[in-house]
Amino acid sequence: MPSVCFYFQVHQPYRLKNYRVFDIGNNNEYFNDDSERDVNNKKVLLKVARKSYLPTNAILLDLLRAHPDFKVSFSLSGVLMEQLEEYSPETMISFQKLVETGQVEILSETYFHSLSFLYSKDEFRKQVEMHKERVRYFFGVEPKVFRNTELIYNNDLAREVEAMGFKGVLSEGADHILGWRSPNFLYKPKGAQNIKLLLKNYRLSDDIAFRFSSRDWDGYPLDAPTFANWVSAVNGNGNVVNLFMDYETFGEHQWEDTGIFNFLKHLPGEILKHPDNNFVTPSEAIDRYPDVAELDVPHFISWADVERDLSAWLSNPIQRDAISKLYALEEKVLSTNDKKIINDWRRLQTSDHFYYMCTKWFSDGDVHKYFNPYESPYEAFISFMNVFNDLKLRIADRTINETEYLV
Amino acid sequence: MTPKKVKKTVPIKTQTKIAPRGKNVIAKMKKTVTIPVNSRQNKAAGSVKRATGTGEKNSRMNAKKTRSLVVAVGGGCFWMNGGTVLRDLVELKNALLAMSKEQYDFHANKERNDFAAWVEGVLQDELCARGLRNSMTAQAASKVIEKALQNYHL
Repeated sequence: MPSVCFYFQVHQPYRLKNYRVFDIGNNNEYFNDDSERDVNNKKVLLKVARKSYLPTNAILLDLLRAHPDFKVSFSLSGVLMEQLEEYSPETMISFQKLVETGQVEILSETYFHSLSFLYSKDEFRKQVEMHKERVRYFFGVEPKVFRNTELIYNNDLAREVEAMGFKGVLSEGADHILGWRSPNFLYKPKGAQNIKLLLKNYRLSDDIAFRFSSRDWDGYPLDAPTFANWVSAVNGNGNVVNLFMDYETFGEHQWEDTGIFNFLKHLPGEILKHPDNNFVTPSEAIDRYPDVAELDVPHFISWADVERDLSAWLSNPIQRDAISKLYALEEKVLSTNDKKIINDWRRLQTSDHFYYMCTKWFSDGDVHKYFNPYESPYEAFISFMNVFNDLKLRIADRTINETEYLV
Repeated sequence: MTPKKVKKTVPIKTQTKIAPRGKNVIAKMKKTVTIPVNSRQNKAAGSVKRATGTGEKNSRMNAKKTRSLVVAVGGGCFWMNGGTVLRDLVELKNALLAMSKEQYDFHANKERNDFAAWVEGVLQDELCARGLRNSMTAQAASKVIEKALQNYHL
């Protein structure tokens, strides 16, 4: 009996404005672009809320009410929740209504959607705790399952989040780690005791997230009965079909005129037509199904690009330079005890900043370009480093002031 | 002039006859062969050994065939790139015969050989796995399996 486990990632970064070298030392507002460009965070959030979050939440609420067995899960980054609260509270309320149905699970992640696990375990733990507090505040629930930024995962991450009390962790069902194994089972991370690993079925997930509107695709046009049949075909060969995707798939990546909303409206009903099918949240999948084997993932994997590795964020020297310099500031930043400095430093950790600097313009070039609000990776790097240098000046100023005070 | 002696040979086909898959065959097998879940099944590997009959006739027929075919279940099945699910050596051999070069290279390349890993880890045939690791093409791999199957009760 295949259970279907939907997980939607909901995230919008605080994009940096076009911060010029002349702004260094004169302007410490980095995220307040008010132009018509796509680095205007309020403008982008309102657009995505109107095109995607609000209509999709309305459809999901109807579906959850119509099908008591229908379940979904979300993780909303902390920076997304902040922006919803500030710019679009009605969207936050619509998410709260979904959670109130009792058929929706909220997952844990790093507050700033960061790569902190790779650079600072202390910072990682702090951000996970910050996110938990925010989830408690908005939704009144305690997340039990963790998913790291962009499904970045390895054995060490599993052990770390198990020690933090999570019972499950999500990752990518990357071919190179699965080999002959199926993503449609739960696994035990190597070296872990009780935590279970849920892997994305990337073929079925990407049929919706990426290929849905592709006219070159054999499966085009995809309808709900066909997709439900593909899911049902797993019957006997798997326990759970993990459909993990960006929530913006609905209405933003796949526009309304592609028929994506209509597809979503009919999908749960079509899947439930098969008596063996059902829906589960990640926590329910973990409670219901055993792990079938230990899975060894010594190197980091993610759900990004065809490589399913870290290369979307860390493949070129400018990306590595920017992020290593940022984390090298950790001690100095925290020692300032300045909330604004610390918060700006953390907002700069959001993985999207490094994604915008990616220069892989090959098979994934179109995808990177689509998600990049800057003219070029180099422009993204320049803005980031100018901001970084201003942040360093602010830290130095603060340190000097404190020294003067102590003297 | 003495007539040329013709050496009679048994066609290879009959030596290594492999039962086709399908419900009818399984039903036929049930008459002569029991297929219980073996009590020594390897749960971790997700496989069961298909037990065979112990009648005298079967024993004579299978004098040189010493192994029971291991059939993977659940998480032990081979999940091929493209979604096909394989359960035992016979299915793997048939899949290899129909496999494109791209598909084969996907599972058997410099970094790893999924076929060998599965055959060794789940189907528990170390010798066959070794042969698969040395196979450069799907055709060569299918021949390795065909040879290995001679050691099995089918």
